[in-house]
Amino acid sequence: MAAALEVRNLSVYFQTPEGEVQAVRDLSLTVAAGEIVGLVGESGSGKSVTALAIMGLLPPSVSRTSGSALLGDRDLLALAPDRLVKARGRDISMIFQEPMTALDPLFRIGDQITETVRAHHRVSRRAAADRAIRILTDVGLPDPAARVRAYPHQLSGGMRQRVMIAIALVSEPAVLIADEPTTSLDVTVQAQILGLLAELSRAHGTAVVLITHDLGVVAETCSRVHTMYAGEIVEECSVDEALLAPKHPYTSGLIQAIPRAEKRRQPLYSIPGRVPPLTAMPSGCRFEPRCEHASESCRAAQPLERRDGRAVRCGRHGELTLPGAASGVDQ
Amino acid sequence: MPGRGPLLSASGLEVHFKLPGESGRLRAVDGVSFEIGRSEIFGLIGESGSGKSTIARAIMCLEPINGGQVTLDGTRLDQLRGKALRRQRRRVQMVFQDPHESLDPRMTVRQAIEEPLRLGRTGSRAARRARVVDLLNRVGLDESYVGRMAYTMSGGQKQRVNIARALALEPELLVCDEAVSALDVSVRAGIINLLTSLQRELQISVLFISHDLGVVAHLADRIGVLYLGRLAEVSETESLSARPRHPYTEMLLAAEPQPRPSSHRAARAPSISGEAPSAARPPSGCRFRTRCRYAQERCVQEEPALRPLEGGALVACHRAEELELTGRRA
Repeated sequence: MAAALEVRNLSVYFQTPEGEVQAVRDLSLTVAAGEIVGLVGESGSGKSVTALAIMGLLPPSVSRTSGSALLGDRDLLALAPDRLVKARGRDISMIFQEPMTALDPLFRIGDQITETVRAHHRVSRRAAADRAIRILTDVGLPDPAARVRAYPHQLSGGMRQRVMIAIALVSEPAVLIADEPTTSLDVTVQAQILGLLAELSRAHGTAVVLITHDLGVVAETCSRVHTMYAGEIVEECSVDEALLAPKHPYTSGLIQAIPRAEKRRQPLYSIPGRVPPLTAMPSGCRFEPRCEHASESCRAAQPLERRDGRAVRCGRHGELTLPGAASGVDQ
Repeated sequence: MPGRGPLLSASGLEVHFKLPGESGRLRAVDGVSFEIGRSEIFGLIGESGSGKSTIARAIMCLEPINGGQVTLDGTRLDQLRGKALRRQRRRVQMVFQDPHESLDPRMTVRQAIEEPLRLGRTGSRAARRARVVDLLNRVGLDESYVGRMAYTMSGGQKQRVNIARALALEPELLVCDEAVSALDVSVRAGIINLLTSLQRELQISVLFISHDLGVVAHLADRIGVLYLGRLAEVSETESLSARPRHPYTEMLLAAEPQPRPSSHRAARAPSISGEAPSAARPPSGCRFRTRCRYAQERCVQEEPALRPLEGGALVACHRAEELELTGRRA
């Protein structure tokens, strides 16, 4: 399938008082139309910075990017500011973790949707308003004809996230980046929002990059997953491959750290240490200081090796057999 | 009369809040009864607005209660005031959700852990300091941490200090309110392990409150499921996961994202719908009926009481006997 979004060798740098630091290194990621791809990692891994860089939302005064993010034949990272503004919301959209801060509290939600419609399309107010009601119906907001007149504070967290999704998808963009879209929601609402994203992606062929810290969310929603650690992708494969037979010790560690009903009260695997600060990244494998499989050879930089449709950044992956989510579970 | 009966019991607990500008009152906790046994881990699970944190605060006597009783080892906590209350309250300590907010940034680790000892007038200065080191070791930190300031530590390290601080006065009950929810997965695993081993070593009781059923099910002996200020179900952990008896428990289990490969995963049940209504205006009859696919006329009219079923579960559902509900997808 043709790639809707193709990120190639993305690097992101920030200027800090201690000099320039690199937050994302050499990241490549491809999403096809109608596909949901996961980007998973813990805090500080660079997931959100990656999303903001693709959207061109990082402040240029303190940041710098290299590489490319191809949306069709256009490189988002090289677009002139006015063309980027036009592409955002029409061709590529983003939703965030906290819908309350992403919505404007002073405007009715109907107006916030029609604003987006009229920014990108030459349509009448009446047509834009009709479109707002239609998209709110699509995202499952109850009683949309009345709710267009509601202010964000009058809606629940789940409804606000539905409105955010409506705004993001009203122009039928080719790509949606969803950054922890369900993290602040209750679990029953999360299930509904994830189901909605999957359904809309299927129905409209939207390519979705789903950023999350939760491998459970990835397993429920995505077909492929990229695991990020300390600014780099350390593993990329299908979700089943990652869960059944992870090849990077970090991916395996994340899986082992999740409490499981079958292993009640048994000690969970806990990855020792913490993510190194950007100012003191190890020169070799970035996970090496925390990795129980580390050996002398890991002190050298590790390339992302691609084979059989999956990629892993671990020099020892050929010799290691790492536990996944099914180990200890009856087949 | 220590050693007999439950360590803590809440019965008919009511906590109401006055709503600004409205005449009604929000019944955040509306007649909740449960017991926590000695060296038992009791889990409380519920979504936002279910009253979990208010229950924790009521037990800590941080929230005045509008009805019911809180009894610790035979003593009515809710009737105590002043010095007598402080004497009892040290037996119950709490760990909060945000490790960053719950440590004073101007205190060293030693000061933070020593503070409850100092206020509790426990031992000499030298004895207190030795105790601080002992507590640090218990939570998996070494002596080098005593001079550290909170801001130099990670979330996981801070939560360990918070746990050490909560254990300083040798409480019999530890109340953990979303104590691991703000932590990264790998760090969270370490804190869960720590709580498991501390409970085993010290034989303390734990009230573990969380929105995350997976985490609660990993730790707890029994679980209470809260919905809009009332308990829907109280069951042993294993039976709650395998055979839920309340439709809301079934929905929670179905909604839980499962980090399993597709070969080990049943499809998500399509029955997850709606959102919890405001606790200020709960539905008539059964509070869950607006989202319940099994609801009948009786559920609109009559509020179900929490009652024991065969097998030991407590359930507040008129139809509990006739329903065959689905357990955790696996």
